[in-house]
Amino acid sequence: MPGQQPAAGYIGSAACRLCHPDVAQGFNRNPHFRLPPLTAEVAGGTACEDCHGPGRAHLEGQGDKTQIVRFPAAAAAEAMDRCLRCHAKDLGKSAFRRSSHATAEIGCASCHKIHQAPEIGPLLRAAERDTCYACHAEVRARFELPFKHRVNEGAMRCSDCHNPHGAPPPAWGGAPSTAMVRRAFGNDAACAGCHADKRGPFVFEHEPVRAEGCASCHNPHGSTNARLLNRPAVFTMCLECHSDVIGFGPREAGIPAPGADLHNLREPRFQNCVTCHARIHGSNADALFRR
Amino acid sequence: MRAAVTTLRRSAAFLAAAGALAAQPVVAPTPDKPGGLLEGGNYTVSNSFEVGYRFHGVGGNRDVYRSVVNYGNGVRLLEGELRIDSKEGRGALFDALTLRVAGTGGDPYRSSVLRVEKDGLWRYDMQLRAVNYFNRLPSLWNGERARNTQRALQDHDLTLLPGRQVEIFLGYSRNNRSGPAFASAAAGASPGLPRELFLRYEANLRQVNNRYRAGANVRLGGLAVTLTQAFDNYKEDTEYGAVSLGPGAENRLLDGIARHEPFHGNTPVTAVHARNVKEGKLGFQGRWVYASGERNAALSRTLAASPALQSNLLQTFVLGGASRKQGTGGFTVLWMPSPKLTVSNASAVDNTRIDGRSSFLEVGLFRNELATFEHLGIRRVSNESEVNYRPGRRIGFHGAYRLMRRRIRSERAFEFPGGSFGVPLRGQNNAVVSAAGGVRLTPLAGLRLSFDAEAGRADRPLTPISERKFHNQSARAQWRRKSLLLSGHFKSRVNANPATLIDYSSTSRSWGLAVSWSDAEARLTLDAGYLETALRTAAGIFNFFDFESGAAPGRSLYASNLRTAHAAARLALHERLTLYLGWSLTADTADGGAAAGFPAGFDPAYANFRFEPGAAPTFYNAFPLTWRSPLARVSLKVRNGLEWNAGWQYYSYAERFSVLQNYRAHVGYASLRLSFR
Repeated sequence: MPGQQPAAGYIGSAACRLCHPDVAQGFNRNPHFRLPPLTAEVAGGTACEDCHGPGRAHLEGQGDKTQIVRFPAAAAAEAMDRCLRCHAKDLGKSAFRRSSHATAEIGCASCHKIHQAPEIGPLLRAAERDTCYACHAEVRARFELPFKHRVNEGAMRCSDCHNPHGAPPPAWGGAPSTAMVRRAFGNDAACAGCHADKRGPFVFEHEPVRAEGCASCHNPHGSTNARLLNRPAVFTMCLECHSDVIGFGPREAGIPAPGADLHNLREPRFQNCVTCHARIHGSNADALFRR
Repeated sequence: MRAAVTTLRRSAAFLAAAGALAAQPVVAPTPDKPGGLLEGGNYTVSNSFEVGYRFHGVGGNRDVYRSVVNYGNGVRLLEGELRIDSKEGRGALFDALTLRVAGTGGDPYRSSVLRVEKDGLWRYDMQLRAVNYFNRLPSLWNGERARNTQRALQDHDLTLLPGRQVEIFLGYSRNNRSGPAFASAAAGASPGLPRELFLRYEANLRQVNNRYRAGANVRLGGLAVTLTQAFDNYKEDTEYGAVSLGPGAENRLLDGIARHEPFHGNTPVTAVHARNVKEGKLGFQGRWVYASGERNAALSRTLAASPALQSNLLQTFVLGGASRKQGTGGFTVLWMPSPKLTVSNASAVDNTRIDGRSSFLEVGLFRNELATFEHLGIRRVSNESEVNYRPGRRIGFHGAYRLMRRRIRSERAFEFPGGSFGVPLRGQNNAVVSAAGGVRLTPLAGLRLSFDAEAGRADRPLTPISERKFHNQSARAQWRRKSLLLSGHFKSRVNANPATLIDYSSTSRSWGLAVSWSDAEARLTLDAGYLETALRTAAGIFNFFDFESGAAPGRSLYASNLRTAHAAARLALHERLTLYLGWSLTADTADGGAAAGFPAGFDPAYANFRFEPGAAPTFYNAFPLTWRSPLARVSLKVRNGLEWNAGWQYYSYAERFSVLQNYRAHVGYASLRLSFR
């Protein structure tokens, strides 16, 4: 703070700027620049030393790298400890310590670059999709398929659906793993955030939508099906569940199979189930989702 | 010290170049942005915008091009960015302002982001996005429906006293979808219409979703509490126009149609999150969310039918509504007895209850009348315990045990003149348990290795394709030395859901390699990668090929072998001239069919499915395709603050089984980027 004498070990940001002009230049554009020093937590701390620790030994050692906290060299957990001193209060980052990224030792510096970040705002090392694609190559490949959400075109971001800092404990979806998927409004699946028409509630609910989640039928990253279905043809996907075999379904009485007297699969019209069962996510007028 | 500065510069240059290189799927806007700042009063300002003309040419199926790429011709504000930052962190009106726009002027994907803030007093965030969605595909995709709609999303968030002990936030979001569509629906179950007919509608889609939220972040000592009260309003008033009959009636137009189907509802949401923010050996988080929503719908449809339908008039009236009450809570405890050890436990419970009621009346040749009550209740309880142990900087272990128990209960009742029937309240209980573990290694500086595995079991899965006996493995290696980055990964996911008659199994394996490199001054940057993902599923199904023998057990096999490769180079040929060259290939070869159970010699060029007569009916699903997209872009710095850019991207999309949906397209642009600094 202006006029305050630095505590033992601290030298103040002005001394840092002397040797690191490239970092200091333009640093006023960085959201960290405007933060008040954490004097309540680190006596005498100043902007640079809030994150990098006291700099006196580093200065007296003529830039001895071992005498300062260097984030590229720090273990993921150590970097995380430092960042979460401030960011643990943010709701969206509060679950980071037990996120899949933290478990895999993907620390803050893996994705973020605090000084001179090319991506303004979240201070990412690169555009958000490129940051994610760098590790998630298989997801990148799905976005090259004909039908996908418009992430590559810039209309959507990975973080519209995912929270890379960790989602709350899993409480929806059948599988234990939630791939750090965000909750939409209330506690809905992330998809319902945009696809409000599918959110319901409906008089007649298609149970797996609620019980298993949208990914039972859809691959949101990319598909060869125009509706992002998990199979190129609609009817084969539907028939994988609709078999009438006892033991499955919400009453364990079997998931109803189509009436054999009507659905001749040789005819193309019956190969696209949703032509007639048009309200497949839920209907207010028909138990078989036909209107 | 000089060396440190040089290293930093080198690293920054590499990262900036790598950022411009990686995943460059659209040719414009130009990702290279000028640096530098203009000083004005107490602020520094940077401002740049790229204006240009985008053009395209398409051969082959234009509808598929529009469904996938959809760029057109015209003058565009390809990108613009304005930043104003106070020099000393404090400004008179505001401390920082950031505005970014992209795609303005007719691109199918447009966005604007604005943030203005005055630290400690207020912060305003705005995001506007619009997507022109086109989807009209030929019948090979079995598409009876089409869309040419626009989705416009906007979010506004105002935070008062940001960073203070009490933060107040107000927000509003709007999600609007409108435009012409081509819809279908079953004709009706009335004796007045043959059951196998369906109706094709023209529709003018009108969906509006408004969301309002208000709340506060309160910090009390080491505790942070977030309170949110939100309100969601949804309205759908789609207008339906002309209608025709689907196959079976030779697309004959009905004599008249009137259809109205309003669908409206509100959902208030209350949420409380609490967490400790003074990090110590013990951390905790708790959350509780309650949403109680209701939506109501009415359907009124009148068909003035031709004599072929036997009934001259068929009227359908449905009035219904549903309510959903959903409560979710969770509690997480984190214990860090030493810097080497972290133990956590997260528990969550979710309870959803949906009740729906509707009354149905159809008047035609006969009169059908029905009142319905539906109930669906889902309760989930989950727990996850996890341990992370790092005995040294070079090695770390983690293990986890996960449990999820779910109960689904449903009930259905029908009442009609003269009687009633129903399905009594019945339930399905299901549990999924899994154990996971992994190891992280850093054997050398810059080299990181990780191995993970998970195995799990479920009893009584809800559907035949749900996880039952599953195991997942993954391995990842990354080596970084100066500006060279090499990485590779392998992932495998296997699930088997054995059941009498409809045995299901799914196997997915993926591996890939990637390399990035830049010279010391980032004059040359290279990026390349290869990935292969193989997916095989085999499912027992019942299918229906002739009415006399009824359903026949068979198999549905799906094979996808997705191969992607990309390579890109960015060359700073001169201090004023930058060239970017890129190439990407995506191919689903759908080979490896033997592993999926495909017959020997199976030609995956036969799309979608194949019926093998004489044997147990089997569907072979494959969708072989190839997508190539080379890209070139050049940027010439004319003078300070002025760059000329031009680019070209070629799309070649080919499905192996048919030429009807193939297309090739050239998309190009020429632009000027002006920056004031």
